Amino acid sequence: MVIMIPLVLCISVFGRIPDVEKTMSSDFKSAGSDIVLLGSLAPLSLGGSVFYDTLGYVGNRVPRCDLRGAPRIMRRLYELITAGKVRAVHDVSQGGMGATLAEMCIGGRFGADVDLRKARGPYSRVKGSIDLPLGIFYNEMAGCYLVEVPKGPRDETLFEGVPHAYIGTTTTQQEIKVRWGSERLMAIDLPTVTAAWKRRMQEVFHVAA
Amino acid sequence: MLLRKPRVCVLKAKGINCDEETAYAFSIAGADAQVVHINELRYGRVALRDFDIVVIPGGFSNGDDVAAGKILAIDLMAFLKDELLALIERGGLILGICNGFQVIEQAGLFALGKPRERVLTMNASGHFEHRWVRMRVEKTACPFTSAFEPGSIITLPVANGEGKYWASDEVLGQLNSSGGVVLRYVDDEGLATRHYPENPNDSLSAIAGVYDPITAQVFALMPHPERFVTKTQHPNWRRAAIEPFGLKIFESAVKYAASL
Repeated sequence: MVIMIPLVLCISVFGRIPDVEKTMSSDFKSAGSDIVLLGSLAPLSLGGSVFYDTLGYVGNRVPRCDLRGAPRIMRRLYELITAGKVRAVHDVSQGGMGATLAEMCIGGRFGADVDLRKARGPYSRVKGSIDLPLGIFYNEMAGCYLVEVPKGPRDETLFEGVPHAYIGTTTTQQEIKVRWGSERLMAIDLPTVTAAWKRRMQEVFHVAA
Repeated sequence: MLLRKPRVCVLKAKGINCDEETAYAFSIAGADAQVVHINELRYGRVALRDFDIVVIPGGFSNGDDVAAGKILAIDLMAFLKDELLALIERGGLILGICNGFQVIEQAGLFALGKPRERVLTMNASGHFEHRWVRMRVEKTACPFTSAFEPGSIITLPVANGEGKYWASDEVLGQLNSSGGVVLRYVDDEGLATRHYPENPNDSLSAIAGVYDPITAQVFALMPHPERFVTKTQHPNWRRAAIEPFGLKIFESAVKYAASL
């Protein structure tokens, strides 16, 4: 079968890692783990995001990556991976934290329960402006990561000195639950998410994903 | 602890491209493995009598021209037939992997059945099949599979276009009745199957690997054991503890040859 691939700009970066066992995958590894957001999102900067695109907007404010802070986060993450302190990592990229969380759940076949209020940073929820939870969920700031930390007593030194927020836990329930404090914002079952995630590949490449 | 380090000749020829990793697999299994070009053997610069095991690795020898493995098989039989038969006579082993299996069949190195009554031919799917497959170890009374538990279900990658095992009814019957089939493709229940994709080529009798029940010293298989000798070669190594099954094949052979 010949698969015609649509024109896609693809930039790949390769690095040599001395020990392959010290590499990390993005799928959640167990239930009951803490989910930590590393880095600072910019929930009001949704310009060019998939979220805006879906709504038909372009936006006039794009995320500005903190070029001094991002390498610090990356270095810390590398130390934690090498030391075996974290079990899964995925960057926040196209689609924002929502897509990141979904992919980590799909890969691991675990659900998640997250509270976006814990990731709100210096912002508060203001009526009349962009809905803050949506901004947090769909902002595509570079240099942010979702990290799975195994359950157990919280080690406060892990992320000391880098912006971070414990936003929720992984669950055995096959469902992604999103809250704002005690307010329930969204719940979607994993099979639905997985089907949606695979559908695009089937549409574009006409193959079973 | 091995009594001595068996010496392994990993054959190199035009288009063979799995020689380095095959030599590596044998070396971590405890052997002294050396990649040797067929012309070095042909012109006597290296002698097969110095080796305990000869491997014909995977690849596309001579570009699969005429038929996969055909030309290298002719080279082997024309220039090295006596040495290969002498190796078997003194108890040595011959292993063929993927293209090496095709070479061994084309060369008629198996004592059972005549050449052209047994062959590897085009996959029923009509294309190259490259992915992990499940197999059952049918036979452990074989120098290459002694490290397995009988009936073990194992997984290894296949990568071939001509991997369908075909044999005449007579030869197939002999192979099955004499216990010459060492590895069979199996379904989720562990039963031998010709169903695609579990059986990647529609191999008859679900054959993935055979040995010569007469001498027990020649073994060939379509999947690539050298591609699963460390756990991280498996795509799911982070989530499941899966034994590197390929390594056991090399360890079995090394253990056997060490006692020669």
